[in-house]
Amino acid sequence: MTNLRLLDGRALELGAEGFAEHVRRLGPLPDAGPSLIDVVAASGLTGRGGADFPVGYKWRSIAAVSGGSAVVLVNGAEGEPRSLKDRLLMTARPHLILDGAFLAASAVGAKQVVLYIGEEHHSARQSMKRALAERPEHERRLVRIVAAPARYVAGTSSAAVHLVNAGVATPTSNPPTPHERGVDGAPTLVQNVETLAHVALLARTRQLPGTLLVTMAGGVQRPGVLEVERETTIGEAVAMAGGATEPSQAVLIGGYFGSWIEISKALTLFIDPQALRAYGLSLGCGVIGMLPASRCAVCEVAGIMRYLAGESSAQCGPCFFGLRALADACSRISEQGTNSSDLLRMRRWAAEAPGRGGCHHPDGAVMFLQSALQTFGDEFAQHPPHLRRSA
Amino acid sequence: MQADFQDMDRLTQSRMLARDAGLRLLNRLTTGIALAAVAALGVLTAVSAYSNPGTTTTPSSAATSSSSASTFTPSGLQSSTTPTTSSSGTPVAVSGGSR
Amino acid sequence: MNDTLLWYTTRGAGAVTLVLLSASVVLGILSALRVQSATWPRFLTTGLHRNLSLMTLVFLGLHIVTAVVDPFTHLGWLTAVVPFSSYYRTFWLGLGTIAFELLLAVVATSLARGFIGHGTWRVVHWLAYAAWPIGVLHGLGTGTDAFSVWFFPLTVICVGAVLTALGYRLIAGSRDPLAAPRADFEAAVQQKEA
Repeated sequence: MTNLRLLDGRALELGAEGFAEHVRRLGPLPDAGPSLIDVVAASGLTGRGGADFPVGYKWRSIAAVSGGSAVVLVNGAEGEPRSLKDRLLMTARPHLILDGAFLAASAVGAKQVVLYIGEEHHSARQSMKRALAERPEHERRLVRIVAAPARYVAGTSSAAVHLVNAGVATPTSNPPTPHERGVDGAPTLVQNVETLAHVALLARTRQLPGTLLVTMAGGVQRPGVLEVERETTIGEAVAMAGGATEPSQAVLIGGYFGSWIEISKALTLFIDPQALRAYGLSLGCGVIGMLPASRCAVCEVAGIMRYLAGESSAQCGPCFFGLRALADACSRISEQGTNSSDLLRMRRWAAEAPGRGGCHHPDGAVMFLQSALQTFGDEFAQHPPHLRRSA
Repeated sequence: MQADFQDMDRLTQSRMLARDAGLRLLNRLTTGIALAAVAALGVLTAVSAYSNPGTTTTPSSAATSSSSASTFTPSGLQSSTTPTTSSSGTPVAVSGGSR
Repeated sequence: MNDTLLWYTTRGAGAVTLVLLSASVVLGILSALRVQSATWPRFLTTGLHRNLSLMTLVFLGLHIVTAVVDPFTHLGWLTAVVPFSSYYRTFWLGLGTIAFELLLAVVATSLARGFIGHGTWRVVHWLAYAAWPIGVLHGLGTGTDAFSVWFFPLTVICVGAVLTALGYRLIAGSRDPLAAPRADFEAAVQQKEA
């Protein structure tokens, strides 16, 4: 089999690929076990949920403490508002994800699989439910489906585990981590659905598809999910999405916890997590947002900061009050025009907030703001007052 | 397998180090308190021997129950030497749940 | 084994239990306030609370065992589990039995929290607020040393610490500006039917 791609097979508009078709196209689920961990580690696969963490290392550390009682939590929450890839994968290729989940369970010694799917992502949930019903009984009985609340932080690993254990999806950073004691106190492997889809192909062909999924958003003609090779540049991806609707000024890579890049530098960047890391960037959850030149960058940033501040879980002062203060300062500059005290405040608070919250949320928001201040420094310094245009 | 720190960004790394420092502090405090508790057991056992070696204690504020509270008479043969502070309780330093 | 040593040990262990239990209650109260600093992360408060609670049970076990094994107390093993079944200071010792069983329930449910769910765990854990004062009263009522020169001040300090922590929580809690948004968030992320 040559390098299979994630979205190979029936056309996406025709809906989910059923079990029979899946097996016919790709063959049955390969036997796996702890030996699969070496294959995964050797492949260099990194997580596609946003953290880009080496998957083999993760599996190895869970397998080491599992003792046969581990849990695999399939993270299909997709809390990032503009991201669509996880939903698409669940709707169109549910069996790739289930394959990956059962392969992971076999490799790390897990007795339970939890499918964590966004409560508002109805077609994704239906598709996964139907796909699960088509699986053999010995696989089906390991699985339960849990609805992820539709909040930004509900998609984090600790929130997912906390929801399953305690009925509330609050993120934590207290030890033990989910890897040590997660669902029902057992070592829990939390893995994004796209990562597991990669595993499903890797286990069959011994190679990765060499592609990944990104969501093109903002000022492109055809926003949506693309499967791109690692040698694809952002410029080429924009072209695949029908080109920009109008000239762009910048690109936001990685969603709301990502970084802003000026358009001239962005278009030649390769959509490859390792290549981006060399520039201090991260592909994150794979959202690539184009900001048209006609939009006001400061207002966009202020709107996103207001959203992120509102998504705080209100467990810690630095996050809840700190992000709100930053969002307010941003909004004031946006609506009333630049003032030096707000600019100073933002720079100071942005330096103070990270690392003091209970979870990663304020850190991500602050990194977003800092990249905005860097890329749009002139705009922030010279912003005229105008009413809110973009929420 | 050693953690590949180059792959994690610095923020994650500093958070992990802070967490490890916190866990070390927790373990040290737990052990310290456990040892102090054992020492306190010895001291208070000795103090109770010294302060009340075994005279008959009449129940001062007698219980309101109907059954008569019998006088508690220990052996009263306690010598004046303070008992050895051998602790019979094993301090269990239980970690808070992770390595 | 020297029988009076058993008697001294039960009193010593009872005192240590009182101190450890009071410290654990204080930490439990502070946990709810989410106090933390750069060197003292929040999980340190809850972790220490947990460890001290287990230590309390160990010394409480020693206290009970030495009391029952001591031939001069005429306490059978039953008195450790059935309240008000002893002849000696029936009421005050019975309080001790009750406190012991409440603590067992609190610790057992905490260890089994994954199985019983958050709601049940919370309700049972509030029994800790009953176990502690009952334990204190037991110490004052049963204890040979209740109003002695060493035990009484010790009790006063322990009670003072718990009352201070409680007072602080009542004041700081009502001034907690995060209480409302935190409740809003938790309401928004409750588990619903899958």
